[in-house]
Amino acid sequence: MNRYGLRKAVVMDIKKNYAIALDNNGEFLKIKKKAGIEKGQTIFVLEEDILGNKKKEHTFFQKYGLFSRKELYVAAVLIIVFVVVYVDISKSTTANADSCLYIEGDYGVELELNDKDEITNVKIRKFDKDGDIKPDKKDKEPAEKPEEKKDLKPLEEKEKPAEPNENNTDNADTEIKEEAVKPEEPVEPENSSKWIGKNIDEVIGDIVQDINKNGDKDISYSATGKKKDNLEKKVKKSIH
Amino acid sequence: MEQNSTCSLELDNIDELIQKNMGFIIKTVSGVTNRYVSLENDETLSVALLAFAEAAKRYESDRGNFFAFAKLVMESRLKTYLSKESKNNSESLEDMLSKEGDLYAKNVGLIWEDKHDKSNYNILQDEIETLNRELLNYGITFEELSESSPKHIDTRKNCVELAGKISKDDYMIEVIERKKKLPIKETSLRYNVTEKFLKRNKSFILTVVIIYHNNLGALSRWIKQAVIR
Repeated sequence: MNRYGLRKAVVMDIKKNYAIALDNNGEFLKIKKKAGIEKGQTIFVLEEDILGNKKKEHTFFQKYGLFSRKELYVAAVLIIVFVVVYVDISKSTTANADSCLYIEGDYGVELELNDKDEITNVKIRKFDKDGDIKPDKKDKEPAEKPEEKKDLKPLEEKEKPAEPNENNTDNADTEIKEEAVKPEEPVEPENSSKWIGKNIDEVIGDIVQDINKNGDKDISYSATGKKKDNLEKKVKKSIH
Repeated sequence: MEQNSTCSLELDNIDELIQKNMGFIIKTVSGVTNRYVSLENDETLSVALLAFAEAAKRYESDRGNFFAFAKLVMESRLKTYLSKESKNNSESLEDMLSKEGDLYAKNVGLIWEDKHDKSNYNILQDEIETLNRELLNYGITFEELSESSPKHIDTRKNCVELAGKISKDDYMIEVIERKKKLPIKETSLRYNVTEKFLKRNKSFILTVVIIYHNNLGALSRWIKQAVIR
């Protein structure tokens, strides 16, 4: 009989808003109170007549939710939070490159590297005839980073021994925004973005070659960050 | 009405149809009367069963959905019966009608599972009163039972079995009556069941013990047939 959602039950008690009956499965049920109900009656109870108590009641989540227990939802939310925080931290730590390498020959190459020594960004700094740094047309990142500018400054003192005019080195920073298109353009690689994503070891040779097409320049270089010494060694090795 | 062979041939199929749709039939009756269908006033059920059988016989597919049709027939018969009943008219006719319905009910075997069902009413009322009184001594209410009783039939079965043993155990009965509760540790040791099991189901177990111990026959039978399935 139960297959059809029907039970027999004996009415045990009648309360204000409901009644209690003992069904033919030995279960004590809370049922709707209907007219004419009396204690001791043996009645037919349909599923819809049974009142849900706290245990039986289906919450919205029990009906439509994915999980069976509240705790699982809490766990899921925590996992999501942790993942988001982790990704956020990773992103922010990789945004600021772990290391920076600046190499100069015919033109200046500024490389940002991550902790795996992979190139994450490339900036080309061209020089005009006067040896000033031209505005960077190939800037991958619009914002100039203050640390890099500071790095440039001390470099300029040891740079370009072969360049004819060594004036205005102090003004290099401030003149970055100047437009100066001069006839003699130093050679630059067609596509420096090809270096992005590569490990420094792979491309350092190419970079050095590119920077010094005629093979007659003194390459100067400087690195910052944790792996500063390591990087400088690599460049040095490459040059020779 | 005739009780010829053609009728009895069809009866088999109709019995099955009734059995399958008992819920539907009862729901229809309940909808008309706004009461629970009970064994004590099962004339309405008989009327409905008869109407259902009639509808099954008369149904042709051009009458639309069978259940909608059957519902109409049942409701119509019930309304007629109830209005006549309240006017105390043509009792013999109604009696006859309800007896027809009884035929179906018997064949179905559903209502008359327990032959004592109809006379049980008064007996049950007395037994329930006694049980209620006894349970109060132990701080148990039916409401509490509806909340704390084991939901799984196997658990209930185990509880009933245990209660059966306890109720025959004079020592245990004496302890229970003295302490007005089920002694968890002792019961656990004596019957080799876990304390956890006892703690969770102590109200239900005690209730069954009280039913047995106080010789509440109708309730005892009810409980027993509930778990022997």
